[in-house]
Amino acid sequence: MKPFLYELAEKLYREHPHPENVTVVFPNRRASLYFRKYFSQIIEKPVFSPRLITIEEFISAYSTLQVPDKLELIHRLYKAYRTVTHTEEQFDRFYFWGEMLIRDFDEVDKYMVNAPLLFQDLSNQKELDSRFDFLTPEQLAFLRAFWGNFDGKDGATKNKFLNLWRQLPDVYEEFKKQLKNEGFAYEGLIHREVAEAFASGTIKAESSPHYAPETWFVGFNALTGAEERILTWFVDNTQSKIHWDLDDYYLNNKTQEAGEFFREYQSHAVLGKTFEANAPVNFSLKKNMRVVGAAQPVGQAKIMSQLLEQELADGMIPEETLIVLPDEKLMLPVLHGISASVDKLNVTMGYPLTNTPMFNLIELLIELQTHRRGDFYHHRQVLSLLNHPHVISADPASANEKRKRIQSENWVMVPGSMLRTDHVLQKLIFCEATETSILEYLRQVVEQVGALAQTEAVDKEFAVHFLRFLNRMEDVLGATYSSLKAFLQLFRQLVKTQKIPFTGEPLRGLQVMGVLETRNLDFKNVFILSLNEGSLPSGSGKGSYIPYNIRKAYRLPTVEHQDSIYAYLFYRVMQRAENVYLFYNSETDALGQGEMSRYLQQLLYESGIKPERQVLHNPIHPLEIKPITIPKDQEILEALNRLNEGNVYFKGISPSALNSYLECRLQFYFRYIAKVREPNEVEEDIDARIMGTFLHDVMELFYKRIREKKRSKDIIAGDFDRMEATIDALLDEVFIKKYNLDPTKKVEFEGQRLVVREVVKRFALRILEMDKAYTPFVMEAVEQSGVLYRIKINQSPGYAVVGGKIDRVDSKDGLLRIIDYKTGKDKLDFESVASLFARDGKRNKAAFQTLIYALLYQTNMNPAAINSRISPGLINRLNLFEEATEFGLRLAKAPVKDVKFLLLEFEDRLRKLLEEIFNPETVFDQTTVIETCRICPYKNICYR
Amino acid sequence: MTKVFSIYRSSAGSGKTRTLAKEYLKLALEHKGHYFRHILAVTFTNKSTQEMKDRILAYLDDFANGRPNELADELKKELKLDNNTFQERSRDVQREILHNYSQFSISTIDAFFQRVIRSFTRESGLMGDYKLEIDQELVLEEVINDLIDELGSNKELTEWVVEFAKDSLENERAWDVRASLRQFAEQIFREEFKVIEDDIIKETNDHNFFRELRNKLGQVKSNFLAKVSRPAHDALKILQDKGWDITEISYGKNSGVMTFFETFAWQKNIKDIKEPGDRLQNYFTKPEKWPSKTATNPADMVATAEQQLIPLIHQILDIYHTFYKDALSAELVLRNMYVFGLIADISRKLREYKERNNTMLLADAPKFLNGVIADSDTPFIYEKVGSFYRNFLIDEFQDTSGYQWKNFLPLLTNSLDQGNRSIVVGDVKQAVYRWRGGDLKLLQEQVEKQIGKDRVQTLELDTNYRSAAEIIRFNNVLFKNAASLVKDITSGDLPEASFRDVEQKDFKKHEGFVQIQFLQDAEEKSWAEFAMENIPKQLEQLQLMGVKLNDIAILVRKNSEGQQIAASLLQYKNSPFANPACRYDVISNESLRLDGAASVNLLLAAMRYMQFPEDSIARAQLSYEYSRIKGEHIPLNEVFKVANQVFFEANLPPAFAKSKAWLKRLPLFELTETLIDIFGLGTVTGELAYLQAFQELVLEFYSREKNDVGAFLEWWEDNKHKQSLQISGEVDAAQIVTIHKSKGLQFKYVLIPFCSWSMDHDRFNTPLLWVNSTVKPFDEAGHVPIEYSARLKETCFDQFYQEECVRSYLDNLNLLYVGFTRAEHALLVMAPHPKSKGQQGYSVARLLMESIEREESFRQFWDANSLLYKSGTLTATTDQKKSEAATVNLNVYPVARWRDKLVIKQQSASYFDENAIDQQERIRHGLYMHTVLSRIRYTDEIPDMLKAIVQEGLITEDEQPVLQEQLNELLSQPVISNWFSKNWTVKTEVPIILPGGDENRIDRLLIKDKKAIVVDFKTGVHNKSDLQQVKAYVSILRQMNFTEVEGYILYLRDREIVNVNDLKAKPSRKKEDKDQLGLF
Ligand code: SF4
Repeated sequence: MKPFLYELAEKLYREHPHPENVTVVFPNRRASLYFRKYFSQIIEKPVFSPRLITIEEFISAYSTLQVPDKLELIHRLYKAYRTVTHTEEQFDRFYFWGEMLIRDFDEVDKYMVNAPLLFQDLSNQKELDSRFDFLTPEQLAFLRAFWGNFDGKDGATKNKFLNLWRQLPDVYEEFKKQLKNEGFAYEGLIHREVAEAFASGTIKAESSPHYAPETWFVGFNALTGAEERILTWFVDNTQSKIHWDLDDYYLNNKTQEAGEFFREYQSHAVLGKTFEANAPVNFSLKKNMRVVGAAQPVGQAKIMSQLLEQELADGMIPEETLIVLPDEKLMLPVLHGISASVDKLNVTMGYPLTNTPMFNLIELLIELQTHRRGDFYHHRQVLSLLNHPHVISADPASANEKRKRIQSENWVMVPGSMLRTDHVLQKLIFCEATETSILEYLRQVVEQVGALAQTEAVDKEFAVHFLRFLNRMEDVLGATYSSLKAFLQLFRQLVKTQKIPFTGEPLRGLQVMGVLETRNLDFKNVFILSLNEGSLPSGSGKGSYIPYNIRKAYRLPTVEHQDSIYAYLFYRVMQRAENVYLFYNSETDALGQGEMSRYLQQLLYESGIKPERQVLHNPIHPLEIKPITIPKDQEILEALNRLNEGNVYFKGISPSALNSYLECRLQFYFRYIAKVREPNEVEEDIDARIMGTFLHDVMELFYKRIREKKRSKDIIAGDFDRMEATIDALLDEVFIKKYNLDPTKKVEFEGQRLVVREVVKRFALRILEMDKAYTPFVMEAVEQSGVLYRIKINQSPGYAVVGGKIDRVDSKDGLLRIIDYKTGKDKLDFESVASLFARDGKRNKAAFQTLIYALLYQTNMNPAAINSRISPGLINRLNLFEEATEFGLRLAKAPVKDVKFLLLEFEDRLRKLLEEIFNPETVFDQTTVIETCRICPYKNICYR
Repeated sequence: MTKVFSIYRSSAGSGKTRTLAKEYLKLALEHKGHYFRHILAVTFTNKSTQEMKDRILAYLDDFANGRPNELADELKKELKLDNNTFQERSRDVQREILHNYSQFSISTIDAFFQRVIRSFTRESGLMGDYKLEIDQELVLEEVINDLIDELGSNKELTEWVVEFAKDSLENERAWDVRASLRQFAEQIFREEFKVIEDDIIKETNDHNFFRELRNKLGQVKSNFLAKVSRPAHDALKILQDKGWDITEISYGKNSGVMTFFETFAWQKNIKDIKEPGDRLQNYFTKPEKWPSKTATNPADMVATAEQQLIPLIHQILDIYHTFYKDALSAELVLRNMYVFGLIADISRKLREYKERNNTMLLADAPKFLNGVIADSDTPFIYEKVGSFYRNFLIDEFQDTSGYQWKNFLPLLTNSLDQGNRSIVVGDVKQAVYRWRGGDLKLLQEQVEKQIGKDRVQTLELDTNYRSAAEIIRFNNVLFKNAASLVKDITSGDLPEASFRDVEQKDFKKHEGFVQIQFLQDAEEKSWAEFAMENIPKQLEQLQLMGVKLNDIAILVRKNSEGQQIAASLLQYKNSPFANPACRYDVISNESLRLDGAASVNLLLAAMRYMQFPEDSIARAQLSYEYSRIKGEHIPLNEVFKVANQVFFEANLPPAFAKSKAWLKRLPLFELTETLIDIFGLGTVTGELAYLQAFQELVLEFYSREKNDVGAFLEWWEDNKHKQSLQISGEVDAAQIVTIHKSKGLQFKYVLIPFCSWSMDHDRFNTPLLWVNSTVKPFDEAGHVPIEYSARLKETCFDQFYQEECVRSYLDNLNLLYVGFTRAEHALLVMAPHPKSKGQQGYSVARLLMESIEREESFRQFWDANSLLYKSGTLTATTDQKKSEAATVNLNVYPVARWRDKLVIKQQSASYFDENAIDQQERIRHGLYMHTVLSRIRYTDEIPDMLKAIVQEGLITEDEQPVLQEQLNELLSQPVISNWFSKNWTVKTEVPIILPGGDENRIDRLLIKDKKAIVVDFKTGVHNKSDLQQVKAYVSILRQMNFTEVEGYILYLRDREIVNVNDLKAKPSRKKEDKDQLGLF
């Protein structure tokens, strides 16, 4: 196979031993690189290269005007627009549609359309389209309600809109005038002027620095109006040749849209002569072709890599191989996939700036500043930033230190003073920036990241691009913005379309390209991915203000035009290849878009080629989930013994531990033996657990304060005066402690915390109300911890220590109440003592716990109370708001009047339980009650 | 009039898709090739869209190539075309479709509506380009966050939320306000709500609305309580005064008299007041009945009763009968007031969100269209897209919603008026998507009315091509009975009407098998446990007969059931009972979940650990999954010793511990790919599918959301339950499928092991009904939310209850129908005996049993003792499935670090030169001078070039004069200014091509005749290689026949010129390499 460009290079050298006398014009730069490569393979001694330039360079060399970047163009359009319409629209709102408008202007000029006429038609049609006279009042009202900024009748939106259409010609003229005054232009403007100048004879071919006695135009397909005229002029008036890159298959078959433009030029008076008599026949030569369907980008990328790897192992040469990526989303998966099998690869595609870690960093920085309150920073962004790759690589130790501290101290807002330490990058990041200083702030941070020795080269590249970008923003838009939010929005919008060109060593290694870049290049082996509607052909384009019918009438490019171009690109890249692999995504998106590309369908149904077809399908056999059991070895037994010690560190085996053991032995193992604990996270959202702690704390404080003040345990009705105010204050206190708030400031409750506060408050008030009604009574104990109970067991070490913290004990008239506060859905009823030990998932955990407290209290209580009746109970959310509150436990529906009669049996069963725990033979295994797993933190490990 | 509109009622297995495809082809082939673009076919899912398109193209290809085809014969006959014309036409149509593919209009209804709206908004310039949001949960999340942020500043809202939270607590719902609100809010997307949404917004916009409504309803309630409690108290007082012992009153403790009075005296919750029993109303209203035998003074009692108590009873009953209904209604409405408020606020917030983000939700589209159409006959909104179509073919019509239909109607009527044919296809009996808005009444009755009877023909596709004869026969009779039973129970007509076409003809001639087994609770085991135990036995029985495992499907009602079955089969498989000749592998929705795969969980654990190294659960998971994947036998006790860093890392690949710091710096996608590499996950072949799908999500996430590991992990926690694999192609296991998902599928052997769902709504999961009433004061409230319960029968909202009840029964009957009609060869069902535990209310099992028992023709197959129905014979099938497209597998999951391989052009090295990190320095060091000088030919081009590099963002405008100044200074040196004078022909960055693929690029080349001067600009410090390089240029130029060649280097930082002419030259490396950078 001889590539098209190779053939041309040969021809050029044959005809021109001094090739610098020829200027070769290509559609894009890439083609010239390959052309030069082929050329050097042909020559015998050094020569000056022919001038190899793109059509863009070729045309703009005939103009003195310069094309500024897009941001500048849009901003200038914005200014022109404001001059003409006298509106006060914000730039960020204008941006989107300014972009579209410039595209339209560009096309109008490139296609040499009579602009005033077109704008007139456009304006007429828009007037018709947006005249909502035919809407009934109901319809209008509906639209208005649905979209607040819709206005059908007399409102500003519509008028503004229509005004705009009417004034479009003025905007267009004004814009051009302003640009030209400063020596600027957009491409279309230059193209049109150059084309007209040639036609009117006001410029000469020689006036270009790229001029050479002979000009070749190589590999063009769909010419714009201006290009068509310029090429025609050159063919007519100078030594110029056009070399078309085409194939008989689509040229001479009228149904093939790929040949559409060529057929048109063939009948052109001047261009028609530039076609050779016979079109090359390459496409229908025998090829190895395979079509593979796979789900989604990653699937395609991976199967492609696998096939490529096999081929390379079988001798395929990377330099002769091309991978075409119509969808840039596939770039990363493909890069990861193919790298294993090649040493060098060369990517010719734009890498979206938004996919870089640097973009993510900048977004975070802006968000950090948006959520900042004074010199306090929200933990969310702070943590994200401290975990950001760039920040970590600057100083991993201090970033980690800070993160830990924020989490362990539960800071929601983090003071800047704590963050602005250690590394210079952190000092730059955590300081206040506003809408006037944001640009400088970002620039400093980016610059710092770029300057760090640790930053990897590719990230430094990204940094350079962002710096340039920020510079441009400042140059064009200035340094002050209306708000940080507006800045973020604008920034996002601007960056969205930015790409970093990956252009490397073009001639070595495996080639990876976008579709447009493949023009004029031929490879022996071609892999094309994403052969789906929406990728090839790409979706309906970038949007335009000129509707289809007007486009059609004025011969502006339409969807069909696009489709023909894509069809050409598709067939062309395959025409000289020998091995072709085609991949498509076999899953459509949520709206059913993205089915197999029409071109692939055409190929399958029409070409007569019968490619091998395959679908990627992987067997589904997840690793089997096996039961987890842990036998007790020496180490575990030691851990158990430590639990049993009952000293400052190990406060005995707690009722929760026992509950956990009864619920699931493995859970007990995880939590108390292996010490696999839940992480410490900053919690903004509050779950039931935390709410429980709040309630406990508030109740504890309430009674402790009374006791401290009165130095007495007696509680009387008077103690409840101003109860609500007290609760409010206590709540504040508890929140301050929990969230490390500034105790000198008033606590502000917001969001979820407000709800929690309200709910806890209601609970607390309700409890106190009942307590008040119960007065006078004696508060024997509040949150009493360190109560231990030693029980003999028939297992080494011979005893077990149970310990815990009792919420509350009060007494009145010979009745001791041992009460647990619950915010959960615990119930008062239990069937029997035995039921408390039954592993059926239905046992009453709260009752179990309360009975242990009773046991603890009974063992440790002051002898004076020994004759009291002991009644264990719960205050929970279920009974709290009933009309008649009951909180005593109920055994088989009957209230437990005195727990002493139960404790014997209870103790007995407890002993057996502890014996089981200390029995070296029983293993830690998983519960069979799935319900238990639902709220278990280890359920991911157990696959429950 | 001709019957231009056809309704196809297509019972299960009756070839609905073929009917649709045929109609499409018929229309397309009837006309010229391009006519196809006037046909719009609407399918229910994307998958069926794709299938329909593929099918039509495949048919056309067969037709065009003259391959024998049954459908071709039918079409030729119906279209009266000869072979040649037919083939010609087909070729024509095929070509037109392939080259005008965007006009091949087969799509889902959502996609079609989107197209219409998009073109409307675009053309009329209404909204610019709105963004379509498909994931409404994502939106809801933001909306709820907004809402929560507003708490505190909005008193009313705070009140609603606190009440909601309290209600959640009391009703034992989970305590996470955010999450429960999100779940709660989902109902605003339902069509039932959307229909009345605007009214509600209007009502609730009035600030006094809630207060007034609440007051009014409160009054109704308290009035009743006040009225009724007075006589009750009086009565209690009398009873107390009399001091009778309870045994003195007849029936003693069970008399109910005390309870009656006490209830009315004290009860504050109206819903807890039960209607007084018969004994009270009819027995105790007779004085002589009062005393019991033990009464001490019967006469006094009779007298007291007659004069005082009975009048009081009457009084109470009177009040009760007159006011109870309203009072209860009021109370039930009051209970849900916060719902009302919340919903209104959420709906408002959602609107704000959409406006702010210029977003439309996919679910909004039907309502939006409807509003725009507003009952007009020729809606302008269709001008650009819809009116183009002449024929409409709508599939799965029973699941079409009211809005959707109303939106279609004008288009349809229009085309019908012009005599164009359209069809709808559907089956009322398979309507199981009411919760998504599907309204089966459309198909059942309304469409025919709206289109006009004279234009409509209803056709029944009454042959079942799917199931074996016995299954068809059984279903024919069973559902006739079931439907009529449901009619009797609910006293609604709809069920029976819906099933009037249930009878089908059979097509396959083999016999088939049906077995329905009713299980009873025993001492030690519940029916469900028996059923569970039977499943492996049935799998064994079938396999031993020769049935392939993947021909078996287990249908379940809920995913959780499937989960349990899968778990129990796994246990069985590992138990000694397992039969070594059989397999027990199943694929269920759950087992397809991504978080069911070890490799995925390993990745997540690793990421979590890297984010939060102290998270010991993540450590444990990482360690555990890795040990599983490695498959080596490390004691689990060791595996879980993760609290200790040394032990922990010892169990992981050394590369992980080593590169942890470096890994933390990788962006999301690269991180996961690299982890896959480090942990060797790419070789776990059975899990590659999961890995691939997971990476897909990562890719999707970072391109849609953020390139941030923390954000991803958070998102994953919230969304993992939704992430599962799609089964494509064959799996070598039995499938567990929910009945909903099984719709449209068929399986050779179907097991339904838990046929026990309730016909009515589940008690714990009752829906909220939006009701209204004409009774005062409820008429002022408009629509109010109320919880569905049988208590509604006693309120003024009873007809809403009644209607919902019938619908619920029908939904569940339909589910049964869908389930029972999936089977090709055999249907094996297990159901609880209606008296079993947990079978309160009317269940589908009871319906099944009663339908069987009352059917004469079933008698011979029904054994009432063993509770077993059995007909036909169970045999293994031999026919083969059609082979699908050839498949390829991934052998491994290829990953590698691409950065090592990629070569890119680098600019940053000089930019971030350590010696010149700020811009001033860069300028001083001549970096930009280099840029300018190497690009210009003559001095006068400098100003333009400066402008250009400002444009490129290299320098700012302020820096431009500084640079200009530097350049001026430099060019004041005569040697240099000579280089930039017009004495020379200048080539800048001139490429010289060397044979063999190399090229050289000289910064600046000056030529006059045979004389050449080479100038190279350098920014850095002096370097030996610089000299060599320029010498090489000189020598190349000599080869090119220049006789007089000079070479210079200009060091820009030091402004120094070096003349290299006297030095000897050596060949040099290519210059370009210096610009290239191999990364790492
Ligand atoms: S998930 Fe279940 S089995 Fe695993 S530890 Fe928790 S409770 Fe036990």
